[in-house]
Amino acid sequence: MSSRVEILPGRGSVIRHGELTIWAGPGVSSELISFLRQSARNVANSATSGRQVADHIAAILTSRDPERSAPFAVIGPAEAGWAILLHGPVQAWDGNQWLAPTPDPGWLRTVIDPSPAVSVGPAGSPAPRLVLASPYNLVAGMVPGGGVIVLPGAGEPEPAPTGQDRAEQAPRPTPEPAASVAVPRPSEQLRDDRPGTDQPWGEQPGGAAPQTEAPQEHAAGAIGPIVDLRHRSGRGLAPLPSGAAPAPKDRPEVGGIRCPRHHFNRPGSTTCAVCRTEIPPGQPQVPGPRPTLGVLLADDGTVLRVSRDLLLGSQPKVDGVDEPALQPVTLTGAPGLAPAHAELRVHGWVLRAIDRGSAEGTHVWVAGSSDWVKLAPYSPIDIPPGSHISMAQRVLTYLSPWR
Amino acid sequence: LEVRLRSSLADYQLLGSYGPGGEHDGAWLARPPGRLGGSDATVVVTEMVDPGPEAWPAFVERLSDLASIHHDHLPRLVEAGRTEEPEGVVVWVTRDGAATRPLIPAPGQRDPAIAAVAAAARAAHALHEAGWAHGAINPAAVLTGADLTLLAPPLAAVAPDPVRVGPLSSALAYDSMDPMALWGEGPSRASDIWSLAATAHALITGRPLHPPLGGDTVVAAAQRILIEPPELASDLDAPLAGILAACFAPDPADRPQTAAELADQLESLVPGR
Repeated sequence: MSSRVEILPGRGSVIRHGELTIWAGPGVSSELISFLRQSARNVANSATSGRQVADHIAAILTSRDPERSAPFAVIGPAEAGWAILLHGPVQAWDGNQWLAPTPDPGWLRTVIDPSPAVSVGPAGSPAPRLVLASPYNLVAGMVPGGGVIVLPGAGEPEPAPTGQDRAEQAPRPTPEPAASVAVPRPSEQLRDDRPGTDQPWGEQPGGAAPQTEAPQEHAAGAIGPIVDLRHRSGRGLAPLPSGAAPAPKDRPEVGGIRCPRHHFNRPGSTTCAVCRTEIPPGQPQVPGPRPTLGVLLADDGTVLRVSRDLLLGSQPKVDGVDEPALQPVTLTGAPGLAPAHAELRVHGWVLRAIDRGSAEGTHVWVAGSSDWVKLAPYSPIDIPPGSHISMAQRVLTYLSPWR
Repeated sequence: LEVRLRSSLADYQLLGSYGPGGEHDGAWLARPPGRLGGSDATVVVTEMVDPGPEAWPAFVERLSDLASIHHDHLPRLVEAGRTEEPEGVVVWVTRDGAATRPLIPAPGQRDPAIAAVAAAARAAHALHEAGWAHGAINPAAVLTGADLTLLAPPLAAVAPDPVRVGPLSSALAYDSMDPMALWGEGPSRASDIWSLAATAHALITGRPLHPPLGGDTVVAAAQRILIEPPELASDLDAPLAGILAACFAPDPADRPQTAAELADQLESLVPGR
């Protein structure tokens, strides 16, 4: 089932090709309209058209913004959810939240889960009333409109292309941009700011460098600027300290004891986890940056570092990351895994697991016990080293040098 | 089972896989496009995980830092871009990268292997002095040609993953990792020195530091390396065994202080150096 695209009254243009919908507000140049329209046509048959166009435009905006105040929005499917890119004074309501770009950088690219629709229009406009039985539906093409409502899965299959854009809805078609306006493909929008493209192709031991042809601005098959690295200068980083890497500055302080060689260890340790020398009893506790607590060894060989709080799931970047300190970790290969399945939180020297109310639940085999235990939702449980954590069909083993 | 037959990446013509792992390594021999002068020279093309448009500027800044490090035993980075199919970052690496290939462990090749690792240690030292830890030194990262030895560039360090340690696709892939790095502490001079020594051991003896490793599952291998100390091959000559053993000291303070120091020690074992 395709999406239904309803046009809202007002000034601007709505473009739809395939599952990709674009709204461009008043004041947008004809060049930008042409670019957006052609971009939509290029990806019309893609199952990830939204992500492709949003990423492509984001890549351009990262290096330069040709029309900083132009209001436009791109909405279309991504691998998971719907990609949306908002630029300039626009806003979107996805049924749960308002989205709008901040003044700097002036654009926003994210993924949403429309429930059941997403509406887009100029900044400051009220949320439109959704008429679920509305007969209006833009199937393909470009029409005038002051905003748009996109209802994923609520439309009808797009008819076979006839060579002409067509709209089922009433508004008069907007005149197409003049035929003389160049319509660049997305990749042709990319310019390269690299210096030295007239430089020869590297040096070759034992032979002269080959002649360089006329420089091109981008590579076929590339979706962003090509960066010439041959003539770049670095920032001049300081040499590494000798020995091991120092603890990152964002590590929290915890209490610990020091071995005779001054390595920081968990209280109660009898052998240093670093140098393996014995730690005499009665060492005073001192504060120090918490080392990495250990690792989670996944059943596919993935090693996950446990140095901060983690959120594990199939799409933890999309759902559930409501704390900046919670690091999303995507696990694959388990159909029953919830988008945000479980949290693993570091508390002092202890790891704690918390199920986030997942349908299949989180099970733990605590080291030394005889059976698996299903976690009650949102009830933390301590995970000693050697324990196993099972989520859907994935199993993680927690190992730590700090016993 | 996914089988990918690819003839091009961006506008580079792929000529074949580069590393010992075939296409799974994500590196190919390739013919450069005409816009770079064409020519018959071949280059190495490496595919990486796409950092996404928002992280791209920081990624380029890190790549530029890395590209500005010039050393006789480091390949030169040429260019980078994001590709549309398959999606991912491609870093095009050369300085005759195509004239070199990853070394294959081969017992009986002691002196060439020692010389190659010494050269790699020189390159690692240059990285360290420029503020970079390599973090992925292993036999496949030592590239040799007729008159050239290179250390593969530390591309994984350009976009370090805050959580995942690796990539570790096989049990043997763990063998060159300092256990402290596998425990999750960041790569460092000391962990690179461990890895250089483990690489020398593998190239010279053809055996892993943790002997049963080849038959282990990836999970069992990781557990073994985390818990058990390395075991040097018994047929190593005493001077070489002494140098390598020092690099495997649990306390980083007991290892050679710099990779250049290790290079000096290794070169002293090779006649004519």
